[in-house]
Amino acid sequence: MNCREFDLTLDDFIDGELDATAVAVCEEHLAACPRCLEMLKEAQEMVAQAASLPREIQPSRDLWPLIAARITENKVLRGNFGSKWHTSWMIRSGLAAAAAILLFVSTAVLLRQGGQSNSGRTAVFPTQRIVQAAMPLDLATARETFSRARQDLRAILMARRADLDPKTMVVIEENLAVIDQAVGRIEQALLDDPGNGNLVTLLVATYDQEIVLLQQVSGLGPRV
Amino acid sequence: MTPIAAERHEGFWANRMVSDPHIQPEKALITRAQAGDLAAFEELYRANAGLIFALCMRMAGRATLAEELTQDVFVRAWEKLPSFRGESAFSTWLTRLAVNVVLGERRQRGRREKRETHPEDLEAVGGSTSVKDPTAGLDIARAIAKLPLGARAVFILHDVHGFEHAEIAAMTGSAVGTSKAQLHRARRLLRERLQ
Repeated sequence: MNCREFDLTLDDFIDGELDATAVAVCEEHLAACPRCLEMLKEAQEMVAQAASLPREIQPSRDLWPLIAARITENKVLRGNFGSKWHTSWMIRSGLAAAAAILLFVSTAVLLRQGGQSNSGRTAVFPTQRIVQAAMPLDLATARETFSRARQDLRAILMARRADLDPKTMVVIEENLAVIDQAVGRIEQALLDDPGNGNLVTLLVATYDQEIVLLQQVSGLGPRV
Repeated sequence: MTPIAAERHEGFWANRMVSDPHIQPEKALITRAQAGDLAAFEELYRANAGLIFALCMRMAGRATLAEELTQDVFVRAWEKLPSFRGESAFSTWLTRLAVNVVLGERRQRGRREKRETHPEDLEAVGGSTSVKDPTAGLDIARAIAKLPLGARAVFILHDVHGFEHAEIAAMTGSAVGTSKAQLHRARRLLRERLQ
């Protein structure tokens, strides 16, 4: 055995992981090599120092209150949603609603650019916002108001469909589909966690977005 | 495992089981905590906080960061507790979580590991009344803090805490050979720096 080979075997030798034959070979080399013997002593001393370091060190302050607070917050969040699934429902529903809002904005821009002017017209469609109708937030009232408004507005939209640019109609329908998806997700989440205040708020806000969009697009094109 | 580390490892577990007759058996606490008993989990925290903080402290090098990481470890432990099946010691399972938390923190920050250390923090991890030479522990603690993260983690787990290479490989998601290579690297660097 040469010094390089011993260096490669040093750790296993210190840790007692060599078989008897290998140990004998190492000891034979050590007997003839003061340099490697010194290296072994240094390594053994260092390992002994490391092993004598305290295995436990208490933090300078009690961390439990902070840990408990975080656990409790997570529990409350899970309690509102029932499970992690509902957390993900919330996130996905929120994202879907946010996407619907963005699409609504893009649709509004598109309509201003390419839609027919509706200046001076008096709206014949419901102008009542769901949020206003449902204040304080009452889910049953919100659903009823939304359902009525949605029905009326969609009827108007369908009646004026032929007057709108087909490309515009495609965008509108895509936007409505996104909002409907968001509503569906939130409703599903509420089935599993009824009375969840955050979900109710989100649902009503999403209703509102659909109604506002329908109000705006229903005012486009020549009157029938 | 070195003979010294093996002795400490066994003694550590023996002491935990018989040291205080008023402490509920760990298994019962785990069962209660898995059922949502936060008070039971607090007892598990108090029994293991020192171990996890020491590990985080040595791997992170800063007391404030180590406190944050320790909190992260136990919050994650609470979340993952239902998955603990008792196939390993609870403290081993916690240590594995701690290693993942520390290494994950490094990855999230997306930066090369800093070698900066805080001497006053290192005195806490280096100084020990059990060391004959009062300065020896401090020197090696400082040297450990300057190791590359991978080598540092393996050295701390193996030579300080007494875990075997197979356990370390499982904790770090690497191979036994990698763990041995990292230990070899750590010891060589430490010998050079302590000379």
